Amino acid sequence: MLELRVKDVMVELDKHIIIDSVSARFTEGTVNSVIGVNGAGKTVFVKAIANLLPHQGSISIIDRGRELDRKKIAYVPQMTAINSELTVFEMILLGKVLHLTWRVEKELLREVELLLNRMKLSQLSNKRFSTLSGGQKQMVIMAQSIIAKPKVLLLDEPTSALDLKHQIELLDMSKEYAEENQAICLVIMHDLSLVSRYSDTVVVLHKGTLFKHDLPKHVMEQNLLEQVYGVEVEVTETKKGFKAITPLNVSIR
Amino acid sequence: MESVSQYSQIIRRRKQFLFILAIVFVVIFIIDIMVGSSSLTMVETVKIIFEGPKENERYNAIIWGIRLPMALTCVCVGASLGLAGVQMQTILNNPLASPYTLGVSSAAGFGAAFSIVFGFPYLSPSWINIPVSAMIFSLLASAMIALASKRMENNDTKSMILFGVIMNFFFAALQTLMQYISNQSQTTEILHWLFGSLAKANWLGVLICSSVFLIIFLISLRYNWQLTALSVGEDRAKSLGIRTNKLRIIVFILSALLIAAAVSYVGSIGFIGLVAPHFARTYMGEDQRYLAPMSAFFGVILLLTASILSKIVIPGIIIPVGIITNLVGVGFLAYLMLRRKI
Repeated sequence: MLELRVKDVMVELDKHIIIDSVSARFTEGTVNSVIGVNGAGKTVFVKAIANLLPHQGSISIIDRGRELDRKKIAYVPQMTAINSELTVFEMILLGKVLHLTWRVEKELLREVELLLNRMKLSQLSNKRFSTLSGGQKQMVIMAQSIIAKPKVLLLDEPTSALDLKHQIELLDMSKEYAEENQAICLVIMHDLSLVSRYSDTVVVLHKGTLFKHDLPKHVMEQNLLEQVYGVEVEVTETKKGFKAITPLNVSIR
Repeated sequence: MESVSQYSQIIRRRKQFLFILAIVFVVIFIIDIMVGSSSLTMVETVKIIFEGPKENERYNAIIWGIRLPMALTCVCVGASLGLAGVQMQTILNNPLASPYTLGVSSAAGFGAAFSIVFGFPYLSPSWINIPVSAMIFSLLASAMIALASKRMENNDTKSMILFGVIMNFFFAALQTLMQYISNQSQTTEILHWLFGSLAKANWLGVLICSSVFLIIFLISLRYNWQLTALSVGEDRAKSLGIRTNKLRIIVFILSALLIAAAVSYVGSIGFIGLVAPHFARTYMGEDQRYLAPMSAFFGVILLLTASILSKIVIPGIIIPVGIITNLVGVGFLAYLMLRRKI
């Protein structure tokens, strides 16, 4: 059984503690959401897991009692950060950068093609990344991340630039990926209805600390959400048993 | 297989372009050797090159003793500056990074001036002192930039560039000081060096510069994919598993050696390291497997073209090639800025 263990993680930036003593465990085949208000430390927390920020405490991936290399973690950043003149095909190929030699093996090229087809990106194959829309870029970066078959996939607000259809497609793909590859997905999201619909567990960060880590049905409660977000909300249940969250007004606090 | 065949087609086109550029290079190389006060035809020039060096033959002596080392110096220096330019622009994530903007050329200029005035580093034969001193100071400037960057958080690239600008002013001031305290003949020699000239090209210089280029080019091959990933962005490269700080330092050292070997023999030849990567990027994209050799090729072709121009603008007089490259470079930079490419 694969497990991501986060223990007493603390991140300090410019002498300010951004994340303080956060501990959590995530298991294989799951999609886990990270929620909280802006500035709660969601991106910093995820970047610390990706080893992109210096941190204290321990973060480890354990597979059947054996600790795996942190290179098995892939991080998909918020879209605004990336631009490149490479083509979509080249961008996805770069996902395997540590295994690439001057002459790229045909097997690898076929792998890129299969992924392009699966993610419905084959029409964009030849286009420069810089010319794509925000949503298309997001899908390409997602493809670049999953081609290396990471054991932990970290997605930072992946749905923010996507329309409803593409949001569903991307989250379905994350779920499929986690299940098929016995991997763990950790997704920062703001849309609480989507969080409820797609998450196996939800991490609530509040002022840099872990407020709650539980099943969606235990997190999507009126009192808890109002306390964290400072917004009056209405929580209803859909016919399929998912929670739908409607913000009402900013009257609390 | 549609996407794979499209990708293979792009790669094929890039190889074809490199091949065409290789042919252009050979033609310009021969024209550069052909052009000069003693007029020779292309056939005669090629014939003399294939004959090898011979004693007591006037044209053979001109080609093998003067023009061939000059043309080969253009090749080594142009290739070194082109490759170093693209490497620096990639690791610093800045299209304006070049030996000039980072102060490495000024440091070499100061090194040369220091040697002309004081004879440093006092080696024998004495002509070797100027290039050795220029090399020492350009490496020193690079080391200072690298050390400063280690103190900066995450090798902050903007600070690295800014520190390079500081280096530029520092060594330019020292160089002016050398000119101020030098006598008239020393001042003339310093100025001539600063113009950037191929006139003092010799076979030893060609041997050193070409060896440095070939060794570094071969070492760089193993970093090409990592540099391509770095061109996408620091965080992205890191999350793809690349140790970006280590990569930056290694490639910075490689490009510093390239620049030192290049500028120490020919003086301040500006803009090649800045312009060649931009040309190359237009035709090759960001894949460093093709971008790096293409930038080196463009560096060579630009410098050979400048060398030809320097010989034909005023018949009978060879204008220092640095003046031509600066004039061409300024025009190109203005064009890029107006087209908002940088």
